[in-house]
Amino acid sequence: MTQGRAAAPGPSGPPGPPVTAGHAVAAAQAARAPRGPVPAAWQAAPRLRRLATVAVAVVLAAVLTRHASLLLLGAPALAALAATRRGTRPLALDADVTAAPARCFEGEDVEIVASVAGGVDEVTFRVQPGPAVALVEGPATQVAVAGRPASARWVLRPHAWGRYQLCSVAARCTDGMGQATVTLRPGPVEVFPHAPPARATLLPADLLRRIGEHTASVPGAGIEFSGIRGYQPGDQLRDLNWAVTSRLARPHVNQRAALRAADLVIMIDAFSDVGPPGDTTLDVAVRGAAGLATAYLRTGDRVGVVVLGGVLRWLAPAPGNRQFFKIVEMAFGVRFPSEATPDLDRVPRTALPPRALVVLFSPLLDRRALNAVTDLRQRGVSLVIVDVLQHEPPAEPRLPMAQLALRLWRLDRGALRASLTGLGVPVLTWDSGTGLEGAQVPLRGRRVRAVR
Amino acid sequence: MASTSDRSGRDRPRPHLAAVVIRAVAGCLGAGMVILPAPELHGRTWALLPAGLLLVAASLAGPAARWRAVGTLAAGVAVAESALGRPGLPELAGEGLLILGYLLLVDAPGAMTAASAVRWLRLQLPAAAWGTLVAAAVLVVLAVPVPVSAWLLVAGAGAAVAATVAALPRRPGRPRQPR
Repeated sequence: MTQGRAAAPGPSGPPGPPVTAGHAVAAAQAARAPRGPVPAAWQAAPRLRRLATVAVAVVLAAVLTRHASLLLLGAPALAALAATRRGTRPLALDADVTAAPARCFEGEDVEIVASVAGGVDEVTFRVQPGPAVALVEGPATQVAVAGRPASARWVLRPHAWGRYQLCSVAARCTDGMGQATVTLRPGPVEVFPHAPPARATLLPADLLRRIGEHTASVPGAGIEFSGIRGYQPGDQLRDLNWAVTSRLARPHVNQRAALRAADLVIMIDAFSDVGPPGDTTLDVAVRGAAGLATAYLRTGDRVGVVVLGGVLRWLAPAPGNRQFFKIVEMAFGVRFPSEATPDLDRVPRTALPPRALVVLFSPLLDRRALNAVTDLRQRGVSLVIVDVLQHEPPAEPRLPMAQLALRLWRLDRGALRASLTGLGVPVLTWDSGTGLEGAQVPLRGRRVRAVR
Repeated sequence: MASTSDRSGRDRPRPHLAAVVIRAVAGCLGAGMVILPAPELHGRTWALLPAGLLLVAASLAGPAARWRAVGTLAAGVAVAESALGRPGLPELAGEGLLILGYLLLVDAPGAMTAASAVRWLRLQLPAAAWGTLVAAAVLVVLAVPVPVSAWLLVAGAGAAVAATVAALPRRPGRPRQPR
């Protein structure tokens, strides 16, 4: 059982949820489908068909060959049919399936337990994991014979975030010569994205006036050395730089940089979603967003999120661990199908506060997302793009122009990235197999400036 | 415990020892039901022997085991062998019991543990016992020569009518009216 593991991530993982009794209870609860009798359509079991077929074949053979002793062949089969237990079978089976815990992170184990109550001779359970869900413990097919509680247990491991049903369980119940198959589905499980390691090193040129943990370019009461100046009344004696003072014969003091906080707004481009299940561009984007949010929230910054695609939704920047779970729960809905086209000119001010750094996770495939980038630059927003496209379009080797088309596509991508860089928007490439720290290297020590 | 380790969990599970033993016994019964009437075959009907053995093997292992009709076809081949070969009454009785045993065991689930297999076999005991009793009774009826007698026919018909009347469900009576 992994109950409660979602509530206690490791030190390198995302921040833990707020410690409230209600939250802990919710994390430990099992995802259970609405319980109640499941309608069962009973039909003839395969054994009944076999025995009846053999009996009919024997009778036919006896009649055709005029050899009455052949009836001896079918007599045991007919007796077995006659000896079958009769009686009314329930029209509904008391079947249940649970998934515990109801909340977990990607790569954690979830226990599935299916059970069928009531008197049936034999129940064959077969679990069918969903896409991007691996069966890690227990055979896929399990049989329970009468005399013991009919139940089966598996351990699944989801590899994709979201709120979804991890599997379906087919329970084939055999009672006498009748058979019924019911399909059980556990309640949806909330799978939080696994946050890759990241550091809060992407910073806008102008930090907020709020005290934080980032070194600002203005002097202040921080710990980072920023310069030397002449002594002024009010300076502390311990700040005196004795070497410079003795060399210049005038008192000089060390100057330190101020420590300021930053606002981070993460934008997720949900216009396009390409790639294999569990590793689509949207999956990678949400994982990256979770990693960045974790890093900045850990340093006391405020983090917000804006989802581009479908209905425009946003979450105003806020500090604290609770914000991580708000962001993730908002991300659960990014795949909500909608034909509405958002009006990007109306991104609210609360979603994009001044002097905030905006990090856009996008595969750069949809023109609307690129229009949004242009619009943000015109509004003077400090913007960084993280390219989450990891798979090139498949080139059909039999087509003679396929390789040429692929080269053109690569050139087009290169031109697009160059034009964005020309606009003053840094474009980072991130391979989701590694942490975000590697992608942040090109901007290490640099501040992202807003260019109008 | 057999386990699956791939990402999708769709690979074939490793069968338990109990399931393998049940399959082996079913194979022996199936081979017996095909081989028992073989000595009486002649000419081209000998082709039924390898066909039946192949069907028995296919019904127990391999990709064709998923199709339940294969087992039924194997039993059908055994019936055809008996119809063409005309073996004696004891052989026919044994053949019927072998067919019943094979049909009962070929349906055994493949993912049973030893304890489950024992309980499953216990569930099959009534059918096997009734099949044996009826086969013995029919064998006796066919083996013992009975002289034709009108009184015997009348007694048999009367017994059948009495049994039917006794087996018919009765209508529940009206509750007695309170005085």
